[in-house]
Amino acid sequence: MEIETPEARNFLDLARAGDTEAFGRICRVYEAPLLRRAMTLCGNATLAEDLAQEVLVEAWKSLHRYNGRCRFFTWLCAILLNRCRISFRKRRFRPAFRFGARDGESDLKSLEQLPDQGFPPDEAAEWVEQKTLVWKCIAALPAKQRQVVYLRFYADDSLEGIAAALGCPVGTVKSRLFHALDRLRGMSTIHAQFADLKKKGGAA
Amino acid sequence: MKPCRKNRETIVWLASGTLESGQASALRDHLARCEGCRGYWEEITSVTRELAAAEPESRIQTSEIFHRRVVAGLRTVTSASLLGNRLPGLRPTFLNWHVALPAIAVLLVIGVIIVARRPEVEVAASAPKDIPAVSGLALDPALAPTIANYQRVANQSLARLDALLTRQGGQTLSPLPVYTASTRPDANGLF
Repeated sequence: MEIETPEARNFLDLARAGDTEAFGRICRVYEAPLLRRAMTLCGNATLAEDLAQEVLVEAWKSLHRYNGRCRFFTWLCAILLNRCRISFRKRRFRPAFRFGARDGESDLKSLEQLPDQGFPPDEAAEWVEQKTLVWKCIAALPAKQRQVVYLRFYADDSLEGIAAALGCPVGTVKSRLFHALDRLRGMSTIHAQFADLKKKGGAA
Repeated sequence: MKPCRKNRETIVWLASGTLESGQASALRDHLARCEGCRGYWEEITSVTRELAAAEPESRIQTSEIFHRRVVAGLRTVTSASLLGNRLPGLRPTFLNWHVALPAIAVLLVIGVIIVARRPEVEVAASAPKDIPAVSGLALDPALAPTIANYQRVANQSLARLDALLTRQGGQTLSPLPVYTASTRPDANGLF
């Protein structure tokens, strides 16, 4: 069920009228993708579940604010990012990835616990390392740029949808996306050089 | 080589798939000619590819318990908001200081009145209960004006004593007999 289908719209209308059951059915669709994103952000299964539940309850409370100008999932992700930021500020958890953390020190156990079964062990390890590096780079971005990158690549919405979810003009979203990707390019270059140095050091 | 300054933003939007098709084709033509811009585009494309590859783990699924907890949370919020909606008009009314201040003043006046009346009540309440009821005696205006009688009435209630004194004060007391040597009843017997 996608929220954009007429059936889903009907559920959304019922939920807006106060039908808890209808919103429960909407939740069923988005629970798993939301949990995945929460897991990526906080890196702890228990906290991720709490966070995802808080997001769904928060969405239910402020459903009247959803104007349909962005995808429903983008809106949920925007709430998730906000809750995550608040929780981080209250020191409920550390972000999953910290730029500059020591090698091998990753708070995100989920990736390590769930290596892709299709890869040989060395490739799986490389894949995990690469993924961890990308998330560390994202975590190092300023919050507003991080939001845009997250919504663009992991909520997969248009610039207009992201702008609606964040409540800012499309031009601002475009500007943040440019600065974020330009910054990530710089980080990526540094990391590539560092990886090359490590390889050379290992070979010698 | 460095990319053209004016094309940097559009290159990023092209690489992230957010550039309009008309602009995108013009930029692709430019990329074919400009080495600096092409190099920048390749770097940004590499970043976007890595971002896309780092998508959250797709095998993480939610359990039925998780869903039940979500639904329970929704119901709790709903019941709480229903309770809050019972008095929708009163909440803003009491938040308005034009209403709240007079209400507080009235409450204070009522409180002061209650406190001012309290000692009298306490005296009445502290009166010993083992004294026999002498309501008729207490209100009897003909009760002899003696200290003993006043004490008995005062032990019952100060209000009764007050009422008795008021009544007695309004009465014109009969003149007490003046005893002289000639009028003394037993004078004849003695003298």
